[in-house]
Amino acid sequence: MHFFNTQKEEIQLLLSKMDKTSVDELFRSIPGSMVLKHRIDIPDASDELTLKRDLQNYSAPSEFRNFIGAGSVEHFIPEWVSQQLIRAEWYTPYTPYQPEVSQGNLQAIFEFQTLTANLLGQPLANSSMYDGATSLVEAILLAHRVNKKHTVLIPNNIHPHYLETVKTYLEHTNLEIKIIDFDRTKKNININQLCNLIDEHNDDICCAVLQVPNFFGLYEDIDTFQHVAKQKNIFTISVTTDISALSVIKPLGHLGFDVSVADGIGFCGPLSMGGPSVGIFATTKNYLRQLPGRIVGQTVDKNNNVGYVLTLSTREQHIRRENATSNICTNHNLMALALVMTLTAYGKKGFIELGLRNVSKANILRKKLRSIGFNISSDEHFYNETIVDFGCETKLDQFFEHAMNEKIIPGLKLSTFYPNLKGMLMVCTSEMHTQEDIDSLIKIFSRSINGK
Amino acid sequence: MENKIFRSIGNKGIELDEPIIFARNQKNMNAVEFFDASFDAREAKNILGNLYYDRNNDLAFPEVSEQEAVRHFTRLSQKNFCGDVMSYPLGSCSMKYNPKINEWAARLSQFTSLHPLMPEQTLQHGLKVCYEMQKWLSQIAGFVNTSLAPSAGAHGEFAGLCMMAKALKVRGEKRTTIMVPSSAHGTNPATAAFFGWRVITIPINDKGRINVSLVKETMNEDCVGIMITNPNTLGIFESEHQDIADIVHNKGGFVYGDGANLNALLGIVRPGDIGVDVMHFNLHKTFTTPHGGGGPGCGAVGASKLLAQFLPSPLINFQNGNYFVDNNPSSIGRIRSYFNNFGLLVRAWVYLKTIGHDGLKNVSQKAVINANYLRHKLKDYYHLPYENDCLHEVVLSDKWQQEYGVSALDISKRLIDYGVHPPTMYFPLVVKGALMIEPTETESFYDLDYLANALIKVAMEAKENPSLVKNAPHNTRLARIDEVKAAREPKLTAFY
Repeated sequence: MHFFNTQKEEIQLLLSKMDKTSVDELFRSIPGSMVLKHRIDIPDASDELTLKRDLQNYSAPSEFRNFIGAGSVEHFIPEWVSQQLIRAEWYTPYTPYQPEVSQGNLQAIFEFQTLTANLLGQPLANSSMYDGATSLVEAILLAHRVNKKHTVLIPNNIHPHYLETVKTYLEHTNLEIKIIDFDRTKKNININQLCNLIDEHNDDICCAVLQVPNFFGLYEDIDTFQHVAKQKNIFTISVTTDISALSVIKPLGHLGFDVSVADGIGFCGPLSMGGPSVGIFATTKNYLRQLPGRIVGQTVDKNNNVGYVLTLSTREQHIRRENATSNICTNHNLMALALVMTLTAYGKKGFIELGLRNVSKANILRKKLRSIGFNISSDEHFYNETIVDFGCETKLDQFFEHAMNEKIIPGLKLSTFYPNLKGMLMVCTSEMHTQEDIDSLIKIFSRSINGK
Repeated sequence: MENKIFRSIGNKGIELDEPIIFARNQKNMNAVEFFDASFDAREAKNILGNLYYDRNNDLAFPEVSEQEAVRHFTRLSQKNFCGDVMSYPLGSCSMKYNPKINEWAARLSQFTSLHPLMPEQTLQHGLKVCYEMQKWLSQIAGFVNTSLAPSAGAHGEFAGLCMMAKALKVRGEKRTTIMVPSSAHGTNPATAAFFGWRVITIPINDKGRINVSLVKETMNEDCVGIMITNPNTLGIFESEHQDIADIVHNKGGFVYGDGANLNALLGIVRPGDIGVDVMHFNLHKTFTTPHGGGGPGCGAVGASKLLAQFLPSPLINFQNGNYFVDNNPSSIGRIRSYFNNFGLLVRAWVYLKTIGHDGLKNVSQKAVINANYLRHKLKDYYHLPYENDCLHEVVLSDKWQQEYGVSALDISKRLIDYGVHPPTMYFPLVVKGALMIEPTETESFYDLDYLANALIKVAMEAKENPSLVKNAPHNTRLARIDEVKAAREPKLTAFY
């Protein structure tokens, strides 16, 4: 078989060199009772020619123009990044446990740590994690390791998948989640409720979480949130699903967050049905030795040349075993490489401009929607999401069906996650949506509001 | 081919130093541009109002052109040893060849353009890949169903133990201990600790296998069960696996399977048939998805009838020509956002379509032949701590070389001079000075001999010229990185 790189004759030769005549002799340590006797039901082998032919019609782009963002926003990645990652030296190495032969990977990840920490306004970052949801979980666990407290304050206008993930993890700990509700109209968190929860659980608050911008794409009043939290010395965590939204506001670390996590989705490759993406984890110097996951550090070799190496492994499972900071053994290395390349491509100027472009696109959509008669909120700080209220789910369903017939997925029905938000549609417009895309969408909105 | 060793320098024309990216900065330069007349920066700033902050004050992203960026990363890439260049005989890593047809398939538009929250009828191509992978993995390992959600082996361990914890909760039981063999990978006890279970380490016997009588003594109604790797980290098949499983099940416990070494058993033994209740696969090991320098991976979990209802969400089902999300009400829930590391699933899916049903057994047989061939060639030069049969990997030690003051670390560094990535060193912990070697089935006779010859040469050098080995590597740009300094004076970013 072509992957085994060895012909049958050579296999016989190998066996004979070991004084064996049959490969079965090498499996004699397996009791006969354990050996599989029946057929495993997977298809027979395919040659490459047949495989390519069968998958041929998968090479056309999706026939639908998509306007769903909701934490997984498609962004522009230049071609050179995609082609750079085809280099075998990026995707076929192992983890850089032998630093002398992995300096390229280690240095690129050091640059990733540098850029992600800088983006989040924090001094330190690790070498990446699985995704934003698990990064948030690790942030909460870090807070608990530090202060040993148990009440976790989380708004339910963070990404619903993130909240569910936190719940799965925390169920088996003695940590308790208290939800901060959001206002149905304004979509921002109820600060009064936050204050009440803090008063109620004063001595036992582990941390308070805020998504920036929130799931509805709106920037919350971070200053008030931090003021309320820091009055009682509460550990605060920020979470971000579209990192470009951070290019136009004050850096989160400077605003007082103890840990800032994010997902690099949209910037580390095509969406690919949501994975793999990359979790980003950044924090202050206080928590250096509490960082989960792998970390790359700069150092020198025996001749004083600058070099890079995996470091602070005494936190990790292969040394501390049951006393490790986390069971995490890995990072999403290839996606982190993709992200550092993409952020390098945008550069300082380009990334700030990208943020403004997204705001501008959403503004264009909002203006057009208003001009055809939709009532879109005007006193909110939005990024690239727009919520359109159809009043009831039936009207929204009709509109959605018309859009699908025109091969447009017009946005996310918020009832998917929030039963109390029936009839509302969330539309994302990033730099990837052209004038024509928006105009086609507006046409369908127009027909809807005119009763068709 | 026998006895030929290549020097690993002087073959490449030129390799250049490459400083950190900021060294190439040119003010206001970047590598992305958009021509979009509708964009009005000033209007956007006005919309943001007093929320807007000019991050020109603090954002320190690079300022380079496309060519600068390409040169930077291309030069960095040249400093990476990789599987497409030469062997990585790392134990329990299954660093096999990454087929390029997988890379082609994963980049197909119908897969890459899918947004995870689009209506199900538009996600059919992607959901089909997920459904088939769930089915095929379940078939391969003997499970009722498999969840693809975990993003790494350790993530799969979390999911599996979480399922066990939930099963206990549903029963109304509280158990406080769990058994982990002394040969286990460190993530096993680390994951168990998360659930507050006290880890009882079960030592291995002189045959390198779990001490079954100790398991029998230890197992009681307060014990959750056991985490078992089979074959174990010594490459030895735990032939008493069924007995161990029976002991655990008889007291109401569960068997967790660490599937890292599945490459020895494809088409031969199914863990689900021999008593495993939940097991994580490593798609980035057994199923060829690329390691990418450390990740991403996929630690899909398969479960027996006992635990299948608790599998993490989302699960995909198929009915009346449609693929759809069909979660178990008893599921432990989500362990990450969206579906899974879908890009990897496409690669593993194409791999299974390529090798097909007959390919499974061929893979494991060849993997075992290759490892045993190395063992046969090396056993006269390196100490073999356990004499009994090994399957797809063999563990040697530096015992004989220590007589000359040469350690596993020294041996590993000297191997680099011969263009071979060192095997896993100092693991498993049960062997002092361990060298854990797994060539995988994709190594040819040519490269196997080369690997063996390099290891033999280093063994001879350790005897005849120990300081040569102790001061290795000699042929790399950097040598013996100061890891102590890195930990004592941590510098994780360019600015702090």
